[in-house]
Amino acid sequence: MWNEKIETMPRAELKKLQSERLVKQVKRMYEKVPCFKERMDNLGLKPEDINGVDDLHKLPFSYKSDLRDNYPYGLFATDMSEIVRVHASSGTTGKQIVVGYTENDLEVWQDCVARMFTELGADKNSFVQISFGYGLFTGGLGAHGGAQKIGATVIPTSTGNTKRQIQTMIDFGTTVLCSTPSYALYLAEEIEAMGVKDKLKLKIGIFGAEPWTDDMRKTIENKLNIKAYDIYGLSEIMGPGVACECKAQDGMHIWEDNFIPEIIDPETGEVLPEGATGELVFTTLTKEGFPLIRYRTRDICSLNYEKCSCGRTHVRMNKPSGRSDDMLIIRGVNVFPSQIEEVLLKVSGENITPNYQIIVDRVNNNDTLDVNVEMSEAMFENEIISIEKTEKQITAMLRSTLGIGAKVHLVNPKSIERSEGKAKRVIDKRKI
Amino acid sequence: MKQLSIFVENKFGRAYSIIDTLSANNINISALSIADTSEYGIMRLIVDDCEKAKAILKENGIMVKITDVLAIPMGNTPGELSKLLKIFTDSMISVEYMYAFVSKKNDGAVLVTKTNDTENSISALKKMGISPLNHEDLF
Repeated sequence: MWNEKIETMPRAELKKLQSERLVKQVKRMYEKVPCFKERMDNLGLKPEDINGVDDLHKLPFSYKSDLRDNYPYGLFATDMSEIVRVHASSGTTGKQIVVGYTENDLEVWQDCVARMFTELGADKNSFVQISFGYGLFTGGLGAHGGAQKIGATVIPTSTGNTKRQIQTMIDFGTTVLCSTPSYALYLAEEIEAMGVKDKLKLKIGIFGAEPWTDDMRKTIENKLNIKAYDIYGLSEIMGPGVACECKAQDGMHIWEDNFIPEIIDPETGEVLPEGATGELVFTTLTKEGFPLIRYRTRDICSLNYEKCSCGRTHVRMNKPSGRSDDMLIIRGVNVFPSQIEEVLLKVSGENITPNYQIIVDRVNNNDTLDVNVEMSEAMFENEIISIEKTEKQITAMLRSTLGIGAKVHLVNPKSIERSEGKAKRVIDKRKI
Repeated sequence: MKQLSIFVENKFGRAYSIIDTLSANNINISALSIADTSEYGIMRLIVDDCEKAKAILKENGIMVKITDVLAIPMGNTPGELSKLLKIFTDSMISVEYMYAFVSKKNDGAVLVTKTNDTENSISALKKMGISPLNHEDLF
């Protein structure tokens, strides 16, 4: 284990540590984050009312919309001179959301990811290929920091160029692969087609950033002859490494010395009893730059507090089974229908959004995104070339807004099926 | 000359449903051409009652526009189309699209075309003694 004392800490002790940290965090945020103070004041709460984890349920929730409303740095709890890095991800509308890290935040992040690598059997002798995107997305640099921390040889390939990824795996002797599960499956199929499976030294696969099934896990494991593990993370809380499976492959350990998870009823906000399925809510205990209290992840899952066969005491979360909002995860990227709506409004030439439908599917293990758009008078011209121009314009704007490609189809007015007068906006055909 | 331009999704039965709608409402089609891509096409029609046809199609959820095009009379003999196109070429006029039909009324062929410059096209034609047809000339 990377940090045995913490990872196997008896739960009573862990709770004490969480309580101490929570009290401090609430006090600090009350002083530094105006939006948090305002919410506390509205509830008639003072930092002194929070004496430990048992008082957590009294605290106000925070939401993704808070990140948009306080964009870019309004929720940061330190002076910007303390912030050494920012990352970003998509928000519910065109604007991205920004998170920040102090030097210490990066240390904690690396420590969490180092625990993850270590529990799955990676060490300083490992060759870790990181095929998560590098850049504003937390995946690449997040996994990178942890791999470096354990002293592994890091191979920062980032995404794309599959043939070169595979050549790199062969030539550099990659033993650990980090990527999205769908990309891993794609790699596995290419490797099979190239007939180079025997040349690989791959043993461990660490896959996350999008939903996948147990069947997919088995297929990847068989095709690559490796063990495949699931990880969970979100930029708002930290990035990859918030939670990760151990070798038992029976739920993902959430590092509770840094994060307190709760499961709530998404409708009423009530905390649900142990083991119940509901919306996952996180409180960060050690984050300095961008702390959050009771952040609504919108992921639906359950928590398992039983001690794990691996010896770790930290709670395990089950794979999220869905969302309590309309966010889609397509090729690992968060996509909100409202982002697509915004683009269509801009090109419609009228002050109304054209009727549209989003169709998500998985073809050859790759997510596809199709957007059907009903033509409006303003969009229809007599010339093929001007219709093609409109189509290309929508495609380009979607790409720059969403960060992924979408196939746009212009369709007849009123041809998109409506149920009870309201069009069904999203059809997700993936079987996850 | 007025032309109907209709947006046609590339879907089975689409052309039939458009034409059937027109037929059910007694619209007579004199000429038809389709410009297509892999995803959709534009159907261009010359019909006897443009405004009525447009209203009917719109009612049926079909995207339609009326556009002005040139309808140029020509003889139904070899070399006539070539002569017309030479007039455009000599005046540096480009053709965007064209199609032709034979009309009972003027007893000859009619070239329907859209060029990059309608005004210049008309004056070039007139110089050669050719007058584009109006809707009334045909129906």
